[in-house]
Amino acid sequence: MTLIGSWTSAPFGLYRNLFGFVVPRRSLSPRTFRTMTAISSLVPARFLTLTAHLVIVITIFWSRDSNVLACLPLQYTQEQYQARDTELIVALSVTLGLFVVELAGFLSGASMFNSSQSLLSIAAHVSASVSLLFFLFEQWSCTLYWWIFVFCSFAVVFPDWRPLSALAAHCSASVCLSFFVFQQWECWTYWYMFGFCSVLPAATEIVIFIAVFGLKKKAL
Amino acid sequence: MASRGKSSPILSSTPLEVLLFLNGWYYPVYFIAEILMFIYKGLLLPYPPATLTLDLVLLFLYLGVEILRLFFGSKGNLSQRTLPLAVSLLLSLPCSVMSVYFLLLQSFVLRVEVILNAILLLFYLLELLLGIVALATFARADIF
Repeated sequence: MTLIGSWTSAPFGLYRNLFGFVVPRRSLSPRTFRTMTAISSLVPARFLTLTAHLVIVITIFWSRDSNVLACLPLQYTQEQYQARDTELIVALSVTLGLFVVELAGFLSGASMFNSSQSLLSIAAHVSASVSLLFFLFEQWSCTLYWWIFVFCSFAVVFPDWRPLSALAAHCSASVCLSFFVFQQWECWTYWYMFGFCSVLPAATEIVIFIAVFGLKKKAL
Repeated sequence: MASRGKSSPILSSTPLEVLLFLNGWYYPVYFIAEILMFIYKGLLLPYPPATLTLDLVLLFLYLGVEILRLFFGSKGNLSQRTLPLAVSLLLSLPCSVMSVYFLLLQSFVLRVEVILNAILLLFYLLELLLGIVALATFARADIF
């Protein structure tokens, strides 16, 4: 019984009562009680959704052939294939880079107990995992990957670790733009890079500015 | 418990506890995923007779050893005792052998299985390193 009890044991001075709810050992103020019990269930949920998303991204990296073929015309040259393949590789590499940022923030404890960040992260990773599953099994065109990427990257660009997320955005912008120049990508791809790497960080900075100076909120 | 006039420092390794906790959640997901993949493989791929049964039995044995390993590791770390933690480190050897079996030596290995087992092996490596450090810390404190 103790074996099963410890298998489902909750951490950090909490324990599971008869109904399976996580409760603290000692008495707490109601506000601390609410945040603690909510947070201790969010941590494993966030980790598992993050891992599921990571597994799917690595799987797509490994078997990206069918997705690249889906966005080429029926008669294609080797150069066209290479160009599309490189584009998808860059998208997946940027995703993996952002994963490193998010994992660093999560495992170091910087955002492990921030419930709003956790909820945002869980929502983004669940939606990303589901859409990437369809991307993989239904062999969606590789351009669609950028849309999934933009919508589901909010959790990382929205400050997990504010200076680091700006750094990540600018690094990925540099990588993408160097590919843009040297591989002579089409002009419309620039709009995607612009949208993600320039607009989103700037928009979050403007929001933070207004919140701190206009609405007198505490800087996070 | 701290006696009056002398405060004992907390020697439990927090990173190790975090890793064991996350491993304790990751492993059930891995187990369920492996069961589903064995159902998928059993239906689709031409297994030689009794090989699928062998793989499933190994998976269930793996479950048992892993539960013991995580339990002993967590209890040993939190109560700052060397024996349970040492047992946990010893058990991580057969666990990593099992993980390598499912990664490389199985009859049919899926790409997803490679990734899932690789993540598990990464967990084992980090827990082994942190466990050895924690073991040294506890053993040194026990001497005095």
